Order: sequence, then C-alpha cells, then structure tokens
Amino acid sequence: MKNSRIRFAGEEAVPPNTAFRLALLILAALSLAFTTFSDQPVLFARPAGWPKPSYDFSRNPQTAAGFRLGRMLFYDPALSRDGSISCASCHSPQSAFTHSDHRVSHGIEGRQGERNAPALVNLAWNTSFHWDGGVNNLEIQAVNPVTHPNEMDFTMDEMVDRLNASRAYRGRFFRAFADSAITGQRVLKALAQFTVSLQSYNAKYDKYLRHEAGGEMSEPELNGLRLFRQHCASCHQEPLFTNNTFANNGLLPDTLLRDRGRYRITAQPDDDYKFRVPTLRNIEFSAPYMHDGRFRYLRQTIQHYTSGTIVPSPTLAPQLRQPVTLSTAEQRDIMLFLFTLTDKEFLDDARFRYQPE
Amino acid sequence: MFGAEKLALETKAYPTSQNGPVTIATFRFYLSALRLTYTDGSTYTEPNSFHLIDAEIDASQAFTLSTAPTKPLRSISFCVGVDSLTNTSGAHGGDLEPGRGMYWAWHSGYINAKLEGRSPACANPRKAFEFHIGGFQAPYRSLRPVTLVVPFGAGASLVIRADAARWLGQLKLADNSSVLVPGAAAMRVADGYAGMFSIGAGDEE
Ligand code: HEC
Ligand code: HEC
Repeated sequence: MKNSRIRFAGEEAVPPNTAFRLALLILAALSLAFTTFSDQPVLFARPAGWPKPSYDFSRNPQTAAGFRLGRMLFYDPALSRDGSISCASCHSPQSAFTHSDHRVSHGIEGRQGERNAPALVNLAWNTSFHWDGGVNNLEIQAVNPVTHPNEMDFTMDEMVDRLNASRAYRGRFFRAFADSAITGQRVLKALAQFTVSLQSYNAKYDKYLRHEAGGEMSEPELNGLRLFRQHCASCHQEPLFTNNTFANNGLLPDTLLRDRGRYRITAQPDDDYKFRVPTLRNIEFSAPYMHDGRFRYLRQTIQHYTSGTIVPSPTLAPQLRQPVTLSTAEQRDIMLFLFTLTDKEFLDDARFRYQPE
Repeated sequence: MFGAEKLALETKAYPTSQNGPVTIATFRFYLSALRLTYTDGSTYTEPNSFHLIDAEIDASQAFTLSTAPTKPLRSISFCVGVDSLTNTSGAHGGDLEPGRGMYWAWHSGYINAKLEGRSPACANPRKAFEFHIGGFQAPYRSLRPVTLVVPFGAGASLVIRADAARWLGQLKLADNSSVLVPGAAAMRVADGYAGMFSIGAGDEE
C-alpha cells in the first residue's frame, strides 16, 4: 500500500500536468487491487492549453492535509444545525456534484430552496458563483449554504464551536494549518481546497482534442461538435463550456419563484432574467437542468433552443433572437456530442468520495 | 457615544431634534487602514489594520498599536469600512471572519457599518430603523476616509469618539428608516458615518 502511494504535483520535478495524469493512471490500477480505499489527495493542475485560473491559490496554498480536511468537512452533516445535511446532500458525487432528481435543492427539515444546485466542477475558473453571480470568491461561497435557513440553517460561530469540540477535527486543522484553533476562515479555506480540486478534463472530448486513446469521436458526435460550435459555443465556450457571463436564454420566467437572476444583484434593468452561463461538462449526469431545474431530460434543453419556445424579452440574448432551426437528426447529434463531455475518470474518482476517516 | 454620553444600548431613549426619542440596539462598524502622522512629518501605518468596533463589546473599543513610535501626533486617519481588495479576496480571519454578522453572503461583501434601533419617527409599524451599509463596487463605494487633527499636547493614549447622535443627525428616519443593500441610499448614509468622529481627551473613557 505504501509503495503505491500516489505522488502529487509539486513533489517531483515534472510539470504538474504530467504528474496529475500519471496519478490517475496509477489510481485505476490501485482501485482494482483495493476497491474501497484511497486516501490520496488531488491537487489542482492546470490542463495544457487552458486559460489561467481566476482562483488565487497563493492565498490558500493547497496541501494534502488541507484537501483531506476539506473533503471531510464536505461530507460532514455536522455543518448543519440539526446534523442532518452535508454539502454532499445537495452536491453528490454520483451526479456530478449536483442534487439529482431535485428541481430545486432541499435543505434541513425538507425545506425547499429556490434554485437548482449547480455541478461543482472546474471552479477555479469561475469569475463568480451562484446562478446570479452574487458570490465573488469560492472561499466565501460556503457561508451561504451554512447560514441559509433553507439549507443548513446554522451560524458560522456555532459551526466553529461544534468543530472545536471535536478532538479529531482539531488534529486535522493542525495538520492543515499548523494550528489546531478552528476558525471560520480555516473551515472556508479547507472546503475550498477540496472543491477547487474537483476538476474535469478527461472526457472523450478532451481526449479527442489531445489526440489520445479513447478520444475517437464518431461522425454524428463530430457533427454535433460542429453544430455546437456554430450555435452554442458563443456562451458555452470551450474548454470550460461557459464564458462566465450572464445571459437570458429565453426561458419562460417562473411565476412562482419570480427569480430575476442577475437583476437581483445589480438592480440593472439590463440584467433582468439573466443567469450565469453554466458549464456543460458532465451534463449527462447533472439533471435536472436550468436554474430552477425545470427540465428533467437533456433533450428538453436542446428542444428549448430549437423548437421555437424561446420567449422574446428586452434582455433576450441577441444570438437567440433568430430561431435556431435544427433537424431532429441534428438535435440528436448535439446531444451525442454533449455526452462526450462526460468524464468517467472524474465521476468515478474515489478520492473525491466520502472516506471513512 | 451618544452626544456627550457613553452610549447605552437598548436601555435608554435619547432625545433628538430630528428623530424624536431614539433607542439604539446595534452600533457597529469597521475601522481600517489606520495611519498616524507625527508632528515631525513621519508616519506610521498599522499593518493588517481591520478593527470591528462594536458598542456591545467593550473589548472591541480599545486597541494598542504596539509597534507605533510614541512621538507627538499631528493627525490620525483611517477608513470606515473594508476596502475592495479585501472584499474580493476570499475568506479572512480575525475581525474579518464572515461569522461576525458583518457580511452579506448571497451578495458577497462586508457590511461597513450597522446602526439599528427604534424611534417613533419611523414610518413602519415596529417603529424600527435598520441601516446596514456596505458596497465596494463603483459607483456605490461606501468606504469613507476620516482624518482627525490631534490637539496639541495629546498623550500616548488617544480617544476617538464615535458619536451615534452625529450619524443619526444626518438621517431623517421619517423619510427612510431602512437601508440594507449597497446603492445610492447607502452612499448618503455612509456620508453620515464619515462625520461622526472626533478626538477626545486621553483621560475620557
Ligand atoms: C440544501 C442544498 C445545498 C447544500 C446543503 C449545499 N449547497 Fe451548494 N449550492 C446549492 C444551490 C441551490 C446552489 C446555487 C445557489 C444559487 O445560485 O443561488 C449552490 C451553489 C454552490 C456553489 C457555487 C457553484 C457555482 O458554479 O456557482 C458551490 C461552490 C457550492 N454550492 C458549494 C457548497 C458547499 C461547500 C457546501 C457545504 C458547506 C454546499 N454547497 C452545501 C445547494 C446546496
Ligand atoms: C446566449 C447564450 C447561450 C447560448 C447561445 C446557448 N446557451 Fe445554453 N444556457 C445559457 C444560459 C444562460 C443557461 C442557464 C439558463 C437558466 O438556467 O436560466 C443555459 C443552460 C443550458 C443548459 C442547462 C445546463 C444546466 O446545468 O442546467 C444546457 C444543457 C444548455 N444550455 C445547452 C445549450 C445548447 C445545446 C445550446 C446551443 C443549441 C445553447 N445552450 C446555447 C446560455 C446560452
């Protein structure tokens, strides 16, 4: 077991990228031999050719102990007032770190939230967080779920007191921060060390671009990619499949929740009903779709763009003012292409799963 | 402070000319970027200078500048609020912990100052007012710089008076008793807190 330990970037003098990919390979072998256990850290690595991340790692240097602590916190319901809900309750690894089967997420005592939990993936590149972009930094994001009455309904101070009462946590905070005092800042930094490492860049699509084994695309998939680049990529920009902006993609406003998206943050009429362009990576597994989870099936999202249901409004995106007309076969090809964004190595990576500590 | 007296929270109704008898429930603000200017022209800038001053917590109302030279002072300057870099650079500790009730989670940003209480002038059934003032993005930056001239001959212990009465004096509660988001209204209220400071004598406390 000791010998098969995976080294992480920074331990040896190879570019981080090579080290990271190497790590995944070894893991595959490892998980055959020991199916249940893997305590290896995953540290951030910037894939070749990807833009510079927005997250400032210098303010929160990643360590193996920090990653493990963050993972432990992520899966720990002690972060909620009544000890019933963890981050993973709404961001489950089985469904690309979203809340599967829930249009809008549920918090403690079954209280219903107002929005669909987004997939947690490639967060280092997000320039803002939440569907309305109201949150400006990954570290600070977690204050929201912890303190939101419909989510974990706790206070930061009470959460910190609860964790401070645990010897196991004090030991882990010591290992991560060289100090066993648990503070809100450290809880947030540790969580971010875990969530920022949820990186997905080994889908078939990525392998296709890198000319690697496993990257052979079929004719329909390639046609889907071509159509996608023509009709969708202006917003769902490669390689992140989001351009980090806000857009009104013509959904009929929900009369019940009256969610006006970005407008809620800026109070600018120009931002009415605009939402953050979501990534489409692992979209096959992150149903339901859209900010309010209105679509259960991926084909419905494609039909939204192609079957004349786009709702005109003053803030509707200019690209969508002319109807996108695609034949049934073309729609199918786009869908097949979207499936090539599924990254099994990421989704099945045991290091992101709950580990009995 | 409230006028000439030390502020008592909740228990006391203070008469005011504009807003009737006012009871204060919360009076809290960030004091940051503290800088001392000496009579010889030199300056001292406090490193990592963020202090959450809370009328409810006596200990928050005094701090020591242990590395500052003790020489005669000419002026003292600071900001009320938290600068924009700190607002955008993730989780901070100490007085900047986001659990201090001075942070907006859903719309990231520090609340620079809070003033809450009751007055019959308020046009709402609870007769309550609430000002949570923040905002670090142009054009609604509510950070306010303050410079106070130190009277000649002041000693090494200095008292800065923060007078809730002066702040309230700038507000007309009958017209507006609640500002809870960044914006133009918050900017006007912020101008009020910029003007509430003065320097007291060293023995006053
Ligand atoms: C009750 C369900 C629920 C829980 C529990 C929960 N989240 Fe979320 N999460 C959401 C929802 C819903 C959103 C979208 C919020 C919005 O857009 O307003 C979200 C958004 C996020 C985002 C932003 C993603 C993006 O791309 O904008 C991150 C990061 C995140 N959550 C991490 C966490 C962490 C860490 C925890 C545990 C401390 C947690 N969540 C607990 C439901 C939940
Ligand atoms: C003008 C920008 C824009 C264009 C062009 C665009 N989208 Fe979107 N897309 C968005 C926005 C914004 C959302 C989120 C909307 C919401 O939830 O309110 C979204 C959501 C989605 C979702 C749901 C994602 C999730 O996690 O819930 C899918 C799938 C999707 N788009 C696919 C496509 C496809 C396929 C095309 C091309 C036919 C396309 N989009 C073109 C902006 C765009």
